[in-house]
Amino acid sequence: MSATTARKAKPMQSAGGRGSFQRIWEAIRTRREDFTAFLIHSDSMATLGAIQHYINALVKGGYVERINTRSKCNDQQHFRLIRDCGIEYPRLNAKGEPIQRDLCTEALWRTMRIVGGEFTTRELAVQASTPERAIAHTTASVYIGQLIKAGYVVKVKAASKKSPPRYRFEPQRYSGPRPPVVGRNTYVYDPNLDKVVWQEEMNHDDF
Amino acid sequence: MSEQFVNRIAPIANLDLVAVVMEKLVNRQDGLPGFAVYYGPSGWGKTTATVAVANRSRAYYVQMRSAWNRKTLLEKILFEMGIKPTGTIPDLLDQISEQLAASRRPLILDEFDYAASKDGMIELVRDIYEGSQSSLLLVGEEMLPNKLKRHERFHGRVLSWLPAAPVSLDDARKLAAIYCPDITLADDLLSHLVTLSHGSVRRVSVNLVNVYDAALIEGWDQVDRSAWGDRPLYTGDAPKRRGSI
Repeated sequence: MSATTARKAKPMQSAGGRGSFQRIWEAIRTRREDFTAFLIHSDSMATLGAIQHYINALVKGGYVERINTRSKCNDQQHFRLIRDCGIEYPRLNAKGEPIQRDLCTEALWRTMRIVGGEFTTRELAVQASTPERAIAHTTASVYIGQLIKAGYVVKVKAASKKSPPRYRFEPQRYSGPRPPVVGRNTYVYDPNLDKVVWQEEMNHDDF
Repeated sequence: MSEQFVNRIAPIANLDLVAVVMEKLVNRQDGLPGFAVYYGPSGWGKTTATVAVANRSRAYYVQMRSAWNRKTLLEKILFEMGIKPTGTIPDLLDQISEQLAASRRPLILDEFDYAASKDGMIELVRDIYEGSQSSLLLVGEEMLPNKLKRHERFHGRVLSWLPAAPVSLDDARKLAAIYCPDITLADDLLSHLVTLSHGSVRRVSVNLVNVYDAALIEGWDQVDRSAWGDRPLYTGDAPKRRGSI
């Protein structure tokens, strides 16, 4: 131990709930120069299958490269991080192409927060759309319906014959940049808080 | 899906202006400065344009508050990035710079007027830029450029100054298609609304809703200035003093 304790930069850690891909990505960023699937496994506690699958996608997507060639079957494949895109793990499919799906709810969530005030689902869908990625009105209204159940959005005006219902976002409930996830209509999970914020009540009579 | 339903945001002039500047900012050559300042009076459609840009570029959006000090600002930016803030102000600054540089996502600071009056804040925002060489869009009120002029070292790093455009007759037509669907508005009424609004997109929209409501009651298919007569319109002016009390 040296007498002088040089301050070591602590690796950045994402806030809120961290799924296995996020943990794998953070482990890769910490070891960036040289890592193997086993090392990532011991750091992230993700399953080896998920790690190998994700590293393959990262290689195809150009984020990671192989740095040795295996000559014997018990050689470890070593990798290096070549394209770092920050704390958030790149969402890739098996071919290494970016997945756009999650961006829709993210845009809706961001738009509600920035615009404030009241909105209809149609206005929201329009404002959150971009030329490259249009958001369907139904996407917005289904998502808003779930956020109402979880208490993030309130209905301020009921629908009338002439006009659709109007909603308002509760700014004090803004928990962070990641949009709450809606799971199969039975729960809403907020990744910023790492908490299930709404769950469908069981109907015990039907069991 | 018909065009009517997808393309319902009014492509008013402000949206294009900001989108072009943001593109210029993000794709700027090395060595060019990385700030853009977008300013204008309230109600001129700044927020609508900002949210459109933020959604396109997945920008980090932070709305500043008057009560914030330097550390709060950094913590709020990190919160917006989804990173746990740990350590002292320099540590937080490093984390922000690292994340901005790596992700290449721009940072939007709204209500930047609150920072412009404090030297420490201005220097901090400049530090964020110097550390990351990222793109920053600063949004504020009409007087923002004048306030920034005091800070010479900051002023020089602004790539473009972008004034919010006042609402035009062309914008009003596009807004009418959204707020007054299926009703024909004559140009003389539209230009009257534009004059009354003093440039504000918000006031034109409010008045278009008024016109729509009146048209539904009266059963009009088309409205012009004479049909409207001297019904009240929203001007945003404070009420006049009442007679002697």
